[in-house]
Amino acid sequence: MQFLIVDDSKAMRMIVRRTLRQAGFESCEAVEAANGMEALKVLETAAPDLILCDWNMPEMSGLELLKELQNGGNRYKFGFVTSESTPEMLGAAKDAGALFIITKPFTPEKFQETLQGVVGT
Amino acid sequence: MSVETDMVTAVVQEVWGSMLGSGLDGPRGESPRSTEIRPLLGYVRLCGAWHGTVSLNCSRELARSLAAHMFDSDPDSLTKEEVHDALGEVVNIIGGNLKHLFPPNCRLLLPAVEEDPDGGSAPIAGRLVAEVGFTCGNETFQVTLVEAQRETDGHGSEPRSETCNS
Repeated sequence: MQFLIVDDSKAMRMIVRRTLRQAGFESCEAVEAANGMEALKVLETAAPDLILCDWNMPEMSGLELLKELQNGGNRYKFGFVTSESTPEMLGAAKDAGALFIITKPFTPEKFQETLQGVVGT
Repeated sequence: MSVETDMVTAVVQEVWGSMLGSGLDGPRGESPRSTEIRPLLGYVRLCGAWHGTVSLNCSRELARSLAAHMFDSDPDSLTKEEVHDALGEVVNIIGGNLKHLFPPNCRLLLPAVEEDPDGGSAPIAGRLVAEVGFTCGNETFQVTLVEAQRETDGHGSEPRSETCNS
């Protein structure tokens, strides 16, 4: 199984990787991108089972990335891992096709509980 | 304590506890506008229906130790950019979790970090909403919430006109 972690913070990408391991996904592979534009490039050669994406990033935000993917007919499983989760954001994320929003700070248990229903373990 | 101070305290303690795994004492009961300015200032701006900043002022040592925990790495092996990245992300998370204090349609911009800030513990002038000091090990740090200064046009106060660009 492969994850694509998209976040402009290198520290946060590390934490997401570590949390995935702690949540039981230790044998999974993870590839990374620092914003939506980079993610699109990564997706030219990778086919992740799930994209875990920050919301607010330079160049191309997480929501813009999701819309770009949907417009292109790609149907990747996609969830947000973000510091904000207002009702407006939740609505926009769901409307665009996101499966979930995990709010930072998070725990391995939160990852496990959320991702099990999406990709299994 | 005000609702805002309570909220800042709770959010900072939750972020530290769940992401950084270290004990945190706070608040320290610092007086508003503490004169102690530490050399690193991480902040994130909010704009839209409410304009202001959430900032975290700390020592380089604390920022390095925080980054080491986030990167799971030796503190001495980290670059300045990695330390700034980690501090910026912590402030971003604190800011995101404080958004519930503000009206809807309020947007968080990208975080930034300044070395040796000359403007004090907040990057902008304005109304002090909350300022809370914390202790972490032998280090102290301060989290400050400031609403951007309002300008008067002779017909009363209007929110400062700021663009929502990062």
